[in-house]
Amino acid sequence: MWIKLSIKHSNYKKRLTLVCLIILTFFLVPLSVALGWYKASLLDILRVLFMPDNSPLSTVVWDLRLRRVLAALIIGAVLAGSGTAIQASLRNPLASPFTFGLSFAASLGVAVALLFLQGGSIQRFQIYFYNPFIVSIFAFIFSLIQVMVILLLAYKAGLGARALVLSAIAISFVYQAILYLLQYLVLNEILTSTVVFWTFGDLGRIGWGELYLVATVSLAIVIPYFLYRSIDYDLMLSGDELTKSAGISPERIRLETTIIAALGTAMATSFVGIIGFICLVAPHAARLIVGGGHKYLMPTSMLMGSIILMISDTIGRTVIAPTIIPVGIMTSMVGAPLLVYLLIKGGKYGHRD
Amino acid sequence: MSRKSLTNIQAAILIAVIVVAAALSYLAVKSYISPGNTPETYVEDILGRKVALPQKINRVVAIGPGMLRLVCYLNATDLLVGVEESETSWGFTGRDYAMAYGESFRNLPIIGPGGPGKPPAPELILAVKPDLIIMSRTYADMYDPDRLQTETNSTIIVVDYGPAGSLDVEGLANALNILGTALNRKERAENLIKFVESLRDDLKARTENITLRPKVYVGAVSYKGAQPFTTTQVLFPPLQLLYTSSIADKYSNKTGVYFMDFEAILQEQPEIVFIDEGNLNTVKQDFDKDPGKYCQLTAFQNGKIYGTLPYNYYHTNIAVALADAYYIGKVLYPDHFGDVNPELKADEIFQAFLGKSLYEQYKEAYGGFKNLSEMFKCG
Amino acid sequence: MGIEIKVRNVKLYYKSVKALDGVSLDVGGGEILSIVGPNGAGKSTLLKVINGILRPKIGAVYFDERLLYEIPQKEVAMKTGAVPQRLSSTGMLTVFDFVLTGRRPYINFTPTKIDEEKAYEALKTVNAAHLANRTLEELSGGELQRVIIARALAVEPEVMLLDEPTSNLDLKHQQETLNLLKALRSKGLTILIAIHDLTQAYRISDKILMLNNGKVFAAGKPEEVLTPQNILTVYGVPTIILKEHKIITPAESI
Repeated sequence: MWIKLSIKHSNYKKRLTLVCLIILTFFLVPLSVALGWYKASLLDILRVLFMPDNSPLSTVVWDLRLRRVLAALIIGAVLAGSGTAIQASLRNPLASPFTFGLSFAASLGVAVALLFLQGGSIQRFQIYFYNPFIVSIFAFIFSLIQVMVILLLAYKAGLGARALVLSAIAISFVYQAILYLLQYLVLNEILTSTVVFWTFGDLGRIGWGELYLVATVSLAIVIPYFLYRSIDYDLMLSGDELTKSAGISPERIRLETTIIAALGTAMATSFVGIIGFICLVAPHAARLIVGGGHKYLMPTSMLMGSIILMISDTIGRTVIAPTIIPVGIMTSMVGAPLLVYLLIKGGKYGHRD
Repeated sequence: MSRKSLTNIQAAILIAVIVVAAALSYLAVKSYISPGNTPETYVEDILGRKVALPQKINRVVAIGPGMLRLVCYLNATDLLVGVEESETSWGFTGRDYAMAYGESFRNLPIIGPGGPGKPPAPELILAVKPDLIIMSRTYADMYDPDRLQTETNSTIIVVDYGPAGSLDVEGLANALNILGTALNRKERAENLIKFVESLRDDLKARTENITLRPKVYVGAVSYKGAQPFTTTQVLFPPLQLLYTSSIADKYSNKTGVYFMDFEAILQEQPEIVFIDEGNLNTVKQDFDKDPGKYCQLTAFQNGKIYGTLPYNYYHTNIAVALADAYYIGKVLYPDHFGDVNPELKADEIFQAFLGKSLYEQYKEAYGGFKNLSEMFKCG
Repeated sequence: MGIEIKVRNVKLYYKSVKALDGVSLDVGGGEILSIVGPNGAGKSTLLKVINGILRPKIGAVYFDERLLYEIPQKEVAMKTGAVPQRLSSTGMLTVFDFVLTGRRPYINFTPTKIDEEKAYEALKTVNAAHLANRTLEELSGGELQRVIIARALAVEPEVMLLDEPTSNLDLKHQQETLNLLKALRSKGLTILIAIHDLTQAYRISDKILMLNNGKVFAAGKPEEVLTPQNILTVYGVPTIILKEHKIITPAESI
């Protein structure tokens, strides 16, 4: 009897952790909104949060702070969830959407977009023909093309875990080579630098319309899918054969997961640039806290992703204010040592493949 | 095959290798201590190298940011025998010297790729047999000038006229003096330096003692690619010439680019805003997407937004920076600049530096000196 | 309870090698069939074919007279409990969560109380309930093997397919596993085991299939199949069958 209780107890602990993280997130949101260069009292900030008006403070709180905090919330969850899902479907704790070279593809898309529009020189008259979303659209399209090519190649090899990883590495190198070739031969210094600057993820870049788009796709498709597939990710870990004997097609899971993870990540990346490490650190940290069962791991990982991204962004814009450290740089600075710490601290993933 | 001695074939190959190696060494040594022209004048370049100048300098190339500009400023383009590829492949717009002399560059052979990060190409330089190579200090940091000197069988002077983005009058004077000596344009150099100093002193006289200074912000400053409105420069050179500080100056004491939090700009509420027209499209896009935050700035509400010409392109376009200073002065202190027409003044400066009036071309490319409130309508 | 499995003339190629070359067998509910043979004979492959994971080029598998491939995958999954030799990875999964994955064919969105009950019962059956909260990495070889069997039991299967379930176990656990299989047999399950240990196969099986190079070398009762001549031919090892001086443990003498 007491064994059953211990199972219940263990589940209870995991549920408690989840609830604590949710509370922490809800606490961090107003905290992050309260922090910033623009001087204002807490009361004023609260007032403006509930009753937005046309004052500068309202703009600061809504357009300059709350928007990035909400973006961090959604994008952090999507990145962390994608990382967790891909790690399960590939049985590889180091896999992530960026394993598929999404960062190279997005950068390449930006480079191509700039090339077509700028024509190699900085001309003022182009201002009226310039669609502000073109860069994002190109980044997104190139990311998806990248993923499609990888899937196609892996499909020829049976969509096994190993095939997918090898295919991803191969195609990523190709994209990287094309990108560098473009930079070296075709792009002038200004364009190259623009591409480089774009790749520094920056949550301030996203507008309200773009945020709505990301939020809708994430909350309607990406996040529910990952939560729904939790039991299947547990299943996939043991091997393709056990998965098939349970009536689930592992290839199908890998295909769906790759596409949806790519969708969420590509969309986020195309709007805010490249934010790394969240997709590695969040799942790993979550695994250490609530274990490998995806029923708790997936939501915990997503929450950790949101929290880490929010904290990184807030620190990035307050630590050497009034200058901003782009969040992509912050997550690398925070994420890398965190990952090392987590790796040293323990948690054997267990690989018998 | 016997292992104790070499076969005939092996011996023949060995002898051939030795002969070839000897011949190459002889040629290399010979070229190194070739008599060439008898040196007479010595010049100390910016790295402290004592360079022996050849007696006759008829063939000159300039490599690295800003070097070709100095040659053009010194009216020595007739000495050029080669040009970097970037000078033509980038187009001429945005570099004052290219806008003036660009067409003549097209006929010159390519002596290297050009660009801030690209190393020089010794073989291409060697092919045009220059008497003198003017090398930028940024290139010298990447590629040892003495080594390049050997590889190109020529003389190299390393020069610079200040850090990127700056307007260092003394640095400019120093560079012009060195090159004036080398290129036999001493008088020209002196005149140009006098001209620049006169402008500096004029601006000083007009603005040094002003007590009422408006709050100023300079946005979207050109720096390594398209920059948003929040990119500014601390100790912005044209403002420095006007003894005026911008709202960014208190956050850093090192001159250089600074990425400001929009909140800080809102907190400061600058009265007058300048936008570098090189990045105008970036700012316009952001404004169209997100007008709310811009329209909280009083400068935008009052339409006090003005465009300046970009001057940071393959090192500082000194002429443009000086022209910008006069325009900015006119906007900030109209009473002290009542007699100045910024457009005419710009052409006066261009004429002095490059012998051509370039303002119209600049205006067509970027918009010119003007109020930008039409583009950024609030409310 | 128990399904009658018929395999008819299955031929399967793996990279132009004949992994299975015309294999047939029959086994019904309440029977244990052991598949023996040297490494590479096709034992694991045959199990996968019967599970429906691999499809043969020629030949068919029937479950109670129904063609396996015409039965909906979910139904097959609910009826078959597979026990592989090893797991690809473990991912810090707890034993309980792992066993719960066996309930996948029955789960629509998330495991229900019933699923959790069944998983728990399965763990009790293999004496591994006290390991429920451990992670798979922490288990010993024997514990892991039992847990994998528990997972198959959680399926509530009518067919059990085990791939070398005793190879990593010590003597005590080997006996426990064999006893468990006997208990399942008396419940009426159809059990197929691929096994290396010929003595165990001899003792526990109702039928034995001896494979060699993908072909059925011999099939039938254990004493018919496991003869010194057959073993010498297939394994190349001379053996003696001792009926008297074998090592038996108390548990076996039931």
